Amino acid sequence: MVLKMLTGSQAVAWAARLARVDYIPAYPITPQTEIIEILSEWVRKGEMEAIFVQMESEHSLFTAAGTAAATGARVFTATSSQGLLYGFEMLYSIAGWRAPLVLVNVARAVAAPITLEPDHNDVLAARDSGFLQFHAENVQEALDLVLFAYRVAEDHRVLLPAIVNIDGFHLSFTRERVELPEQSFVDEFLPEYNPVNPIRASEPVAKGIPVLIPPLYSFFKYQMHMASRNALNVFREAAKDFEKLFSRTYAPVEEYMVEDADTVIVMSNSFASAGKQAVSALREEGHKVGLLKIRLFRPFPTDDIIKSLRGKKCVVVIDQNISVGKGGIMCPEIAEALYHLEDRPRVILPVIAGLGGKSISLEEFRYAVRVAERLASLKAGPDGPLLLFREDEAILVESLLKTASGG
Amino acid sequence: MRFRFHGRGGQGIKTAGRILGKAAFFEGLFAQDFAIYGAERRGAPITAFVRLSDAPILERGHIFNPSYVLVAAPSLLFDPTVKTLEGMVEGAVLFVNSSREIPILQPKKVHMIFRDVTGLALKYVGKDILSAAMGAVACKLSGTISLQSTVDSVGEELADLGLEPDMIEKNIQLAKECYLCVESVGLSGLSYKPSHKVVEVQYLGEKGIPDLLSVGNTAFRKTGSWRVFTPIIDRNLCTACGICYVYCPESCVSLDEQGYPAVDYDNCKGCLVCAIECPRKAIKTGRESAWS
Ligand code: SF4
Ligand code: SF4
Repeated sequence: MVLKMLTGSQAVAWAARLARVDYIPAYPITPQTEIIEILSEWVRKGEMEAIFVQMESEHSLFTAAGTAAATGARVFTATSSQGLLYGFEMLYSIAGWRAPLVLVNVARAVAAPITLEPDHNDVLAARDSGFLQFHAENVQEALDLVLFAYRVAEDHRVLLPAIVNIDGFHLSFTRERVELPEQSFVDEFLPEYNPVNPIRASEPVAKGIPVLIPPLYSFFKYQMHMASRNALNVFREAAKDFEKLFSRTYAPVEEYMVEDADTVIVMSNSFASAGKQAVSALREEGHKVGLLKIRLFRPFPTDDIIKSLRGKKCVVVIDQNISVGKGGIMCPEIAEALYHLEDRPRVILPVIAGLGGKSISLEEFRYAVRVAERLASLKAGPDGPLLLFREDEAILVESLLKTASGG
Repeated sequence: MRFRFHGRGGQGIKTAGRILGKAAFFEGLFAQDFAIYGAERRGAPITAFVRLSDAPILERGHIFNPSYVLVAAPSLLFDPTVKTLEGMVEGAVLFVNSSREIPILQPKKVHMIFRDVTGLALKYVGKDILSAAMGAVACKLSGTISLQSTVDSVGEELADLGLEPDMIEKNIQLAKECYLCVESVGLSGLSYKPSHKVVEVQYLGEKGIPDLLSVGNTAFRKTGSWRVFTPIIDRNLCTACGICYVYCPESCVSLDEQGYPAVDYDNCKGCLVCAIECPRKAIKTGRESAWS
């Protein structure tokens, strides 16, 4: 094991290298480009025995990635935001071919208006595609989850592709101290990919066949769903092996001061660090709060969520995304997981925060927790998601609007 | 400890942050470095953030409550969009790359240090590239990073960028001098008490559509503040050939009725293309001090 200072981009590139991937089709987009620059450099210098191909768009990139995986190659690629959406159609195809590959999405809010900073509308658009989804909070996790993603995706009980999400800038360009795993340990954790019915020139196979008989389509989709559900236990198994080799471990969710908490904040990805910090500060102020981080978003870890949140007074779900006209994407899923419990939380408060990389301050966390606690004492429910904004930010926006309108 | 670096694209500010981060890592500290460079272009304001701690760091992203602010391009102090002094409280440290003190409207008791590290960079490296200089100053100010770790970090970070060994050596000399040109400043109990209210966003109807109505506003942005070097045309040597007028990438040279060139100093970025192209060597260059 070597300690290194790595950015999120460098870390996932290292993970691809340690996973001994065979094929890397690529197309640049900010803020993902650093990843493919690093990989192309390693391939050029012969430090990695992979084939690197620059494609002409994300659509062909995903097509190349999926078909290569169907031949039995271990495939890595990365994209971001608009790029993910441009190739979107192919996500469903790759999942339908049951071709396991790993795609890193460097989260960036989707235009318009245009920005470079992150939220999760890009990655969550792929929620229903059949890809497994792993969401990373810090650089170490980004590296490790790519290894987990291969291990789980390629397992014959699963055979589905996976997305590992890292937040643009806040993770992709942030350098932290990271334990770089040793190659021999990674080889032990991640055996060679053993494909099912790989396409061979000598043994033709048709993948993703037309099914013009409706029950057949339903049947294959249900199979995908059940395969995805299997990924929960395969992940847990992998976590045990990982712990033996690397002395750290991961579960589908992570609890932070949840045990004795009355109110639990639910979050995912890199902004969960700010959430943990806020939890510590709010504890000092006397609020019994905790934080539950969703690490595996597909399959959805319903049982883990129930275990952590049953019996709590309030749950504050912070969605760093917005389904326009409804609210956050994650909150209804959390609510559904808890609905049938006798001891379900009194209040589930939907909150939208951190869109387009807007910071989430302690004040906003405190405000949301207070609103939830007040609703609980009033035995009332929220009337729509809270859209969080600080006063100084509101003033800034007002002055910029004035400038933009020529006022 | 939280460090915020302000500079302009091309000055090496991201690398300055990385030099500090890596040096702290060599000292066995937890370090985190991160830079925001928006639309990547030379001269645009860049901010780099570094956090150091002896425990794992749970913060990330923008630093609103810095213990140290290091300003590489002093003209940024007067750019209202950059907010160089944001969140500075009593006892925090402000380092400005300037040969003389600049009066700064700052009611609180901020510890201010002024040094001309551009002068040192020109002396050792021959260019206004400040990664090693600003990185080394930050290492020293922190009081927790040795000269050895600073030098090792400069060497490793610049080698990662693909610099030639002789250039790395020059930067190491620069870093050593910058490390010695300031004293460590201990921080005693900074108390940053953010007290922002949280507000509900109002629906603004048509005003809430992202339209820009005041178009054609580039002229209001005076890019002359980006200059480190000023081109000065010597009328006695100039033959009015017009070459500088053609070559200026910013269209900042105009010709008068007799065909003699004049520089628009409000917008000239100081790239010195004109001086290099002038066949008569009629364009002299001097270090800029116009921002004050
Ligand atoms: S230095 Fe010369 S070429 Fe460069 S912007 Fe100024 S006038 Fe134009
Ligand atoms: S290039 Fe030199 S000689 Fe020609 S117009 Fe410009 S300053 Fe004068």
